[in-house]
Amino acid sequence: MRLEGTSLTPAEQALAEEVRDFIRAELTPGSYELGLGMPGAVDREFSRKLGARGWIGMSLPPEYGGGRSAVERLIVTEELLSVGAPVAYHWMGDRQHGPNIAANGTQEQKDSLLPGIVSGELSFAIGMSEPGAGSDLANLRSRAVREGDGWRVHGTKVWTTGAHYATHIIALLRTSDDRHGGLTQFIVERDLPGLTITPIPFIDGTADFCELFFDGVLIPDSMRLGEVGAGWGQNTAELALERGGVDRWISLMPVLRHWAAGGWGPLNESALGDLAKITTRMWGLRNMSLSIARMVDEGKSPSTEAALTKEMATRFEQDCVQLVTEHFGRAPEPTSADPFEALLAQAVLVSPSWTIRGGTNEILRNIVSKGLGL
Amino acid sequence: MSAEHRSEFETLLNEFFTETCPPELVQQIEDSGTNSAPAQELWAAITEMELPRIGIEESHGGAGGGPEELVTALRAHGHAAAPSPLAASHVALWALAKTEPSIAVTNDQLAVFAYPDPRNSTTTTMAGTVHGVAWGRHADLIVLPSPDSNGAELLLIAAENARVVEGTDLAGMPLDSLHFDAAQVERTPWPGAPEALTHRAMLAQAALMSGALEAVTALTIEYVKTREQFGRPLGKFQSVQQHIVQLQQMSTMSALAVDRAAQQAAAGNTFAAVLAKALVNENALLAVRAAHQAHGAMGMTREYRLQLFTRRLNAWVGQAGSRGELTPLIAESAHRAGFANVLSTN
Repeated sequence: MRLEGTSLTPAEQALAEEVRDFIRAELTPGSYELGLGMPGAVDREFSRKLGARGWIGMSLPPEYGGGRSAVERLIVTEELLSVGAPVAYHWMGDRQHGPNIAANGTQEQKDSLLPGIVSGELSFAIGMSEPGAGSDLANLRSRAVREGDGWRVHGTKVWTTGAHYATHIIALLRTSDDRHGGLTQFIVERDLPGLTITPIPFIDGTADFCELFFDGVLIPDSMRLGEVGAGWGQNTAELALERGGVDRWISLMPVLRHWAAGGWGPLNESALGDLAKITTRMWGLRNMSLSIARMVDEGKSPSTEAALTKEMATRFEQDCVQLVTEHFGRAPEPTSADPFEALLAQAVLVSPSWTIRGGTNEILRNIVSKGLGL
Repeated sequence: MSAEHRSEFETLLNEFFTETCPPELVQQIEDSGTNSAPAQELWAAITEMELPRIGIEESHGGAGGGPEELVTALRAHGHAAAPSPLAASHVALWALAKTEPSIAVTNDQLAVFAYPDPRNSTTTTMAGTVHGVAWGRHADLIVLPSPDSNGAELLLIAAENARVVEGTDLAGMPLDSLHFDAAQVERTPWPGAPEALTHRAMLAQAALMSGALEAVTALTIEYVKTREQFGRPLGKFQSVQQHIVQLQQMSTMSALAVDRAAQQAAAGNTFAAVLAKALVNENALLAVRAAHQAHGAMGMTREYRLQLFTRRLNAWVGQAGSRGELTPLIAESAHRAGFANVLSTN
């Protein structure tokens, strides 16, 4: 399983510089809420500004404002996540739901939703996991039953990050008893009658994690995404390629940069040693993400390589938290006036979720093992 | 070279090593010594293929190609666990081709690069010893950066002016010390960047290691697919699969790191080789543990060929860029240039 080495072209490097200029202008230190990678802060205005620059939905068809490459998207997201930019609002739509709609949606769905994804006005959340269906997602029970021009939905979804500020939820629902073949995706407008969204307080006190209760929600058939029964494949495709992204190893980056630059004081020899280790492994993981993005641009589907990368990238992120906290000295305080200390404190609490979300490491190892023919 | 051509080149090299250096020969050479006829025949075949000269300009006695072709050749060599001084020989030839005037070495002479060893004295004003010279006893000429010239000079030690004390590394390969009289050592200016020599050696060593890592991974996957216990192949057990996943991660990441470092070197940035060697060092150690764990007791025998690779990996971690040496280099770069910059400029 070889990945082909690649470097950024001059044009791609210029894009990176452009994004850095934008960040220097729009995200001056202290002017925004720092985030830990993808679940950064929600900032609708910032999302709109990014959209206006053409940096959301980059991989969508050009007629909707996309037409850029996966590598270009990597460049933009890397620069943003590196400074903990507030990207949460548009993140899911940009990363996976937009491309899914572009690939599997009706013309009407594409015309009505893709422009809003590109502009940063729409926000998507993932309705997948259920109380009885986490890693074993195919075990899900939320049911959509055909009723006239629509589907009547009953069921519960959990762990839906961002549902309370999302405009739309992509829900994977059961439309027949066939375990994999009976699943269908739906685009759910958040304010539909019968849909109750309740926060599930997270370990760090935040409430972005949500439970969705579908109590006879009627979803028009025009909001069905893809064919009936095609949900499993579509959902898997959404998950698969994104596992190789920079967001899998970059979560602690704003803290790392602050620490490495001496933001908490000079680094002693031990800290410098750990900085070297972190730099080395992050370089190695970045190589993987870049190569995977190139493969996606070549029309390939490196899903095993992506799973391989995510499994070790997320463990690496957790190791970073341990190492930095050690050199920080005392336990970081969540309410510290120092935003980097507060972010580190948050990281300490939430980092166990990094090897769980988007496919647990255990599942990823199964995927890789299968890919290796074991 | 295009990706397609590199792939063809790699296939050719792998075929060459499969034919000239099967696993039985590797163990035979270790047992009978690197002076033995099979060892000499292997080296003759390697030099006839001009492998040490890959990555050196044809105008300077090289076989053409650049760093990317070089790492392809070394990877195939490492993949076969071939007992030969290919890496040390290449770095010496490459260095000698760059001096002005360049110094020619024929195919029946062996020049080896002696990577600076912390035990070496830091001055050469008196009789000195060069430690940790891979394949030193077989060399006609030893090339090393002069320790007292700030990297502006090479020392050239002719074999007849040196007294060899033989040693072996963890893989049973020659790792010798040479005592020399300072008065008999030649010096020649080194026109390149001071660190270019050690970076080249690091790249070469990392390439060898990436080949060995790929071989270890393939060998271990094959083993767990065929070896059965409790009524099924070991590879069906998730706790065993965990080792395979780790092996594949280490192998894929390392090969990519070496390729990227080679690309960077071709573009004039040799520092990526430091990152690559450091990364491959850590990856190799994790891989050795995973491979041995998945193999059980069989992997601990000399008879089974896992040891050919794991002993080499262990030896090579500490050669041409040990962890202790590279850590401060990388830390300094990250601290000075900015952590994010190191990533984006390598």
